[in-house]
Amino acid sequence: MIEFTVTALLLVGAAVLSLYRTIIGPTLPDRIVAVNVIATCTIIIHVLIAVILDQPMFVDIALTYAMLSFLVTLAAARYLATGRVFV
Amino acid sequence: MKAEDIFKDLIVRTVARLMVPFILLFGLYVLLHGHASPGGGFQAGVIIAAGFILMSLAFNMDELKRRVPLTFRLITGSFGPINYVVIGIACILSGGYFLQYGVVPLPSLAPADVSAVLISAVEIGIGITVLGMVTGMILSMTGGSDDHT
Repeated sequence: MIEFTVTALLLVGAAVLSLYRTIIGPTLPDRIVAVNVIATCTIIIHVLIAVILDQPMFVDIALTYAMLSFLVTLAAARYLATGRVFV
Repeated sequence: MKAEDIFKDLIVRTVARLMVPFILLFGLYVLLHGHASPGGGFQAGVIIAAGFILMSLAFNMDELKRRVPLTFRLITGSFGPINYVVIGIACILSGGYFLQYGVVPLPSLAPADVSAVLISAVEIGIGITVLGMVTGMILSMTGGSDDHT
């Protein structure tokens, strides 16, 4: 079980590095991709927590988070490309 | 829509067409399984409305307005409170307090089962209301609604 904890901690480090790019990132595409990477790390951390704690309900939260992060990335990319979210 | 616009968002449209039914199914799962896992009426309504928002992002607002018209939004938006009050008044008429589910004499069900059935009915009403109202709010905020709802 220790390997799941180590993996989760490494993913926390990756998310913090992506947070640096989100704050410092000079352009808007950098920030969008960094937020997407943070969301992906968070989803995997949720699934690892579900395995570590043996609580399957965290997988539901991971599914919802995946869906909402896909929506956020799509809306931000649409805003970047066209200047409007809805066409 | 011009001819070159059809291929402009091809990946987004295809992914949305694949994902929207599963998002709606996941919303139904959250709605009906909310007593044993995180979730419930409000969360399920928001998830289903997020599926509609994804549809309006991939296609356009006219598609959302065609699939979720004004009468649908108004009827679903008012269904939940009416359902809630009707179940509460039914509990009063059965001799209990407001929303005291156990006293309602449903046939061939123990009082605990009556509570489970009526709590699920209230949750389903809340989910339907939130689905209609959140979709209406998105249509209002983006200016895609041609009426004030």
